[in-house]
Amino acid sequence: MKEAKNSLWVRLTWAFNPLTLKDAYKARVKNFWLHWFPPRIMKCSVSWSYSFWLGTISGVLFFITLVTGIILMFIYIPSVERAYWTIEDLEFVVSFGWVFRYSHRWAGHLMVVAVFLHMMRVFYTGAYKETAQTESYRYVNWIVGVILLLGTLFLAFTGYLLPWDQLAMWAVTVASAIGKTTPVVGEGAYSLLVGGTLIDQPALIRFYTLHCIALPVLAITLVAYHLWRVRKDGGLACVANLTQENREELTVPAVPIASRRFFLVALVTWIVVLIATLLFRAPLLEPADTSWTPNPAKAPWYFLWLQELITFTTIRLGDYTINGGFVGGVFIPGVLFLALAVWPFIDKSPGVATSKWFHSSRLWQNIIFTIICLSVIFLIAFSYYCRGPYWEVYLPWNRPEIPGRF
Amino acid sequence: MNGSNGSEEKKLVDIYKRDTFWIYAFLIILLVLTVAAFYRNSTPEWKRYQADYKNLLEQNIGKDAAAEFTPEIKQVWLKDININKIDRCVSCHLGIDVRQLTGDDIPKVFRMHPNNELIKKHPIKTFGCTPCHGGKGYALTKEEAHFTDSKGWIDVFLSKELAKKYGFEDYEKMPLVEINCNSCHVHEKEVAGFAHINKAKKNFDEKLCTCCHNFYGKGGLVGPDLTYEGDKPADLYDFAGIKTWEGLAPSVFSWHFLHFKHPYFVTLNTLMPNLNLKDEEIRALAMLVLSYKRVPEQFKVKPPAANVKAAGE
Repeated sequence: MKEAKNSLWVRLTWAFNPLTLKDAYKARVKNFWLHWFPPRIMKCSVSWSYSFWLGTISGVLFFITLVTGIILMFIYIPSVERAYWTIEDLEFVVSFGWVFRYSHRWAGHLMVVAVFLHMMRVFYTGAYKETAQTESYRYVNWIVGVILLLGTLFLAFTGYLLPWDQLAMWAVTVASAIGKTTPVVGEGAYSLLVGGTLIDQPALIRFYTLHCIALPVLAITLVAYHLWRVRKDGGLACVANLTQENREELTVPAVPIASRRFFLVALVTWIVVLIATLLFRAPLLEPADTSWTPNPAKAPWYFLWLQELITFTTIRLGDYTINGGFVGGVFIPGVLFLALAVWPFIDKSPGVATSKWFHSSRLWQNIIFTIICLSVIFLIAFSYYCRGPYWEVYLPWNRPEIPGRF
Repeated sequence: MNGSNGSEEKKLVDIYKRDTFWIYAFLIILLVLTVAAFYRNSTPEWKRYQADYKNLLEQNIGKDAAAEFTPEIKQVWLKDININKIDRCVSCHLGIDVRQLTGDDIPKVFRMHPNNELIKKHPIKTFGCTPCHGGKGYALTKEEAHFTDSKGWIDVFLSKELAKKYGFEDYEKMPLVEINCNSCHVHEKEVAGFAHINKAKKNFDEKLCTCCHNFYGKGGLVGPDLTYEGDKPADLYDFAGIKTWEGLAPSVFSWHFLHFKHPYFVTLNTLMPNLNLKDEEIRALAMLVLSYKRVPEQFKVKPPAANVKAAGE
């Protein structure tokens, strides 16, 4: 037995696969990487079916974009003359350039999806509500989460411009024109972001700096706070009555059980990104050209629901047009995000509803929330698949394309 | 350790032991995918072509030539045309200016350019390939470099297949390339080797196009200025008037073809007359119009003095 314990394999994996409780605790204290796990963790926090580990998945995707993004920064040149061509070089000449570019792109898109699903999970389980015993401020983490959702969208949006192809430039033109319609601050914010009246070099360098420095720093800081708050609030909101007596029964040592599962989730997330990288190429159209607009010009997919809302709220009376830019592009989403942020204060359901998926006392708010989420998803899908040239509606398989040169 | 529980090593009851199995399983998958990525990265198409080329050199020219050949990405930097213009075609078309590599027994991809005179006047080292042939010079895969779908790349590869698609009888000679050639030779009345463009230029003069159209600052103002008509992107064309493409592929080229054939159907209330030309002449005119593109001035061949005079009158 003693011999086996000293073998290299056991020495390497003891933190990963401890046989005794003592070993498990020791591993957590001694290992730098495991030290940020708590000593014990609630069983429901580790379970798949409560959280689906969506926060971890978002975090891992963020980490993948950070690593690949830093590598891309060694190649990419944020200049209108050269940006596009450095992307072409990444595709064809740079060793593993395609791996980093595609991984970065797909991880970024998946992160938008994962963060959105994470938000949905927290809402459906009422996890922003307080549990009866612990002194917690979960609503703070919910608000931080909403800011992180917006941050994710803005990170994705600023990155969208950088390849400097027709897709990037016109998608960003559409999306930033939406923001411009905000009363009072819209014009100023647009000038500040774009650095002029058109998307050109000043816009590119601003988006680049936001994408590579400002927003990641903000996101990392907020994520750190987000995680710290989870610890301070006593873990995931999933146990109503945690006492000294039932502690043993309801919790397990975080190392190796949570740490191992964390590793597993990270592994699977990475594999999904790698499969997407191997199977799908990131899109790249012709170099950006300010003199002509692709028909139709669509915003990045996560902003397509805004473009669709604008279409619906634009009213034409003869030659007179009331532009829906403000109502559809700013007001409705603004109200939705504001409502989302303050929802913990509006939700008056009892404490028992916390940590329960679809608790009956929260039926109506769940229904409203689901309708809004599904509408957003539907509008995105509708706009992505059914909008054709001149913003006309077509069946996805019948959508004509504007002819090319030959 | 504390005396109380330091000695008793409580056994860890691990209810999630199956996670370990899945970690190993997914690690294997990750390994497979990583190997796949490494494999794809280390076996680009051009490496295979260069290995074949080395063998070809050994057989046709000699061991020394083969030994001198170093496998690497080869490119021509066309910085005078555009600071970003790079042609990597020569990474696979390695024998394009090697005199010994002619004849049918040499694989097409390595064969010397068929037009010897042309290559002498336009050395690959300064002119590259895409200025005439189109295509994506940056690309290092066969599919991507010979881009013929103009979605995603405007300057498409003007291939034989494309010429065949538009009904050129001499499609084997890649006639559409004349479009790009004429971007520089635009001021010359006749250029040796331009089977179609020469005819079109003759028609251009005979049909008095500049009565209505402006061309390099001269001509009428009735029709649109033609000077840079070839630069107009597809999205700026009005395809609404075309009810039927008459069997042609929907494209800007077809638009011009149909517009010459029956102008009134394509553009409502147009003043453009029907020139009553044969299909072949119409195709040539469509090529000519598409060749009117911006190129750096130093590349535009100056017409002989006599021509200037004639044009000025």
